[in-house]
Amino acid sequence: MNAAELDIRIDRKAYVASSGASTRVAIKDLKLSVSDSEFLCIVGPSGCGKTTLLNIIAGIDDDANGTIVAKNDQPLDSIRISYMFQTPRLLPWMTVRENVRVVMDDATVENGKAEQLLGRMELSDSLDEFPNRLSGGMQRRVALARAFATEPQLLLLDEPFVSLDMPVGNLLRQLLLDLWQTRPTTVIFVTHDLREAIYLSDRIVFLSRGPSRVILDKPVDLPRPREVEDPQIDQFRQNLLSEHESVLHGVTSGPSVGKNTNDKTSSEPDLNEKH
Amino acid sequence: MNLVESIPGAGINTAWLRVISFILLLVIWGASAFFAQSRVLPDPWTVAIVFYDHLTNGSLLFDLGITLWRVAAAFILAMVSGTVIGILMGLRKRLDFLLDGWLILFLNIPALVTIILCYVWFGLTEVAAIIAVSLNKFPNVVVTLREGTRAVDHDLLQVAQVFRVGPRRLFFNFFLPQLYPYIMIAARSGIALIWKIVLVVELLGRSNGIGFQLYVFFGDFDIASILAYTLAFVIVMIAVELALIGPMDRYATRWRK
Repeated sequence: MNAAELDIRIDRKAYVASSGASTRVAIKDLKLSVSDSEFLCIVGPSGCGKTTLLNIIAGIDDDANGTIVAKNDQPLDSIRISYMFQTPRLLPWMTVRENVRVVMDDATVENGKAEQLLGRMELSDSLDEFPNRLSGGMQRRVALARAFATEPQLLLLDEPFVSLDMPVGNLLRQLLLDLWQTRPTTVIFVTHDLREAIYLSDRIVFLSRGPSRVILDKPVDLPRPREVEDPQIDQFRQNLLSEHESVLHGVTSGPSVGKNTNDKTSSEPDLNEKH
Repeated sequence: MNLVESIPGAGINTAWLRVISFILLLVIWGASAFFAQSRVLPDPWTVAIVFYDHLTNGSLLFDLGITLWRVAAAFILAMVSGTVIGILMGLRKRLDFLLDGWLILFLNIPALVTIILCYVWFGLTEVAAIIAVSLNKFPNVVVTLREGTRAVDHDLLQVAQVFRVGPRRLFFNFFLPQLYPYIMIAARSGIALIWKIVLVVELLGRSNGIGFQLYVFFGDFDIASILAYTLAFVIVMIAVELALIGPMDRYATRWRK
């Protein structure tokens, strides 16, 4: 079966504060489409509703006004979705192997697919370990293997490498690209790190501050495979930032618009910033 | 300061202390019996002989078996029904509001009242006895499991939802394991409570079991036999903890660091 192709339109998503009647609109008039086997990155400032958007697409959050239409009107709940969360969310009472198997069909478990994927993640020696005994990077690798274990048509990732240090994060980014290239799937990857987005994606969509909507849709036309340290990535980033000065802060302004310059526009969110 | 080092007793060989403590208890008991020289306070040696006598010639093993069976039946009944109701109340707010008042009522009914009413309504039968015992434990299990259900990590349930695992896997692999600590708490305190209440139930309405025999010995003023039966009872209790509950707990939590 093909990878997913989606037209996403979210008219409004609001949170009602538990204390009273005040509501906070997280997403408003957001339109987004993603094509077959595309690697799409969504970049936006912290707290702009990126996670909310992924949760709506994943079907975890069904309290939003909007529509998500798949290619050929394929019903959304028949699309195989995987989701890699900000934290690994492994089941601590299950071994590494069981954590991958638990999301798989019984038929595919028999084929040794879990072991094969974990082998590619270089976790063959840790199959029967419990997640608590693994490092953060290893736990992320288990989560990545789990995400690919169901042969997803749509893979959602929510800043999955955010709390890792640079070398570990880069290894995981590379593993993700390897898997994506051998098992094509449509990817929506949320991040606030522009360099990460350029390294990974075919296209970057920038969101505004909440209530979030799309403020810039930018194809990344760099050839693959890319190197993390490739100067082209920095070049691309600088060009983009000089063209759209404060896009990382969720504000639409070209260099000619001066009203936001007192904003701390130059301080791009750090690669390892934590929430 | 290191927290572990500051825990009192850390680093001392605690097994020895336990042995010394046990011997000390026997010495105090023996000394008291020696100075009292009374029929109502037999010394440890007399109790040991009476214990052996009941074990080989009397009905100690039979009574112990009967009581053990009642404990097991009441325990399972209370745990299963309490777990089911507790989970449902934890999940469904409306049901929680509906039953919460009853729960508080049940928690505050004295054990003796439950026992008397069960015997009056269901007759002096085995079923009435077991229901009476489990009813005393049941509300406590409900409260514990309701707390556990409320504390369930929804992040993990979302994983199950996104990956569309079936309802069986959702329950047994994602949900229930999160309740293990609460089930263990309910089980531990449950055994302790049921052991005690089952004797009262036997005393009031059964013609066998440890509770009934204690009642008979009480009538005869046979304190040595009472202590011997108590000893047997306590040994079985400790054995259940060591051989059953402990290993179960260790297995269920083996994934912890």
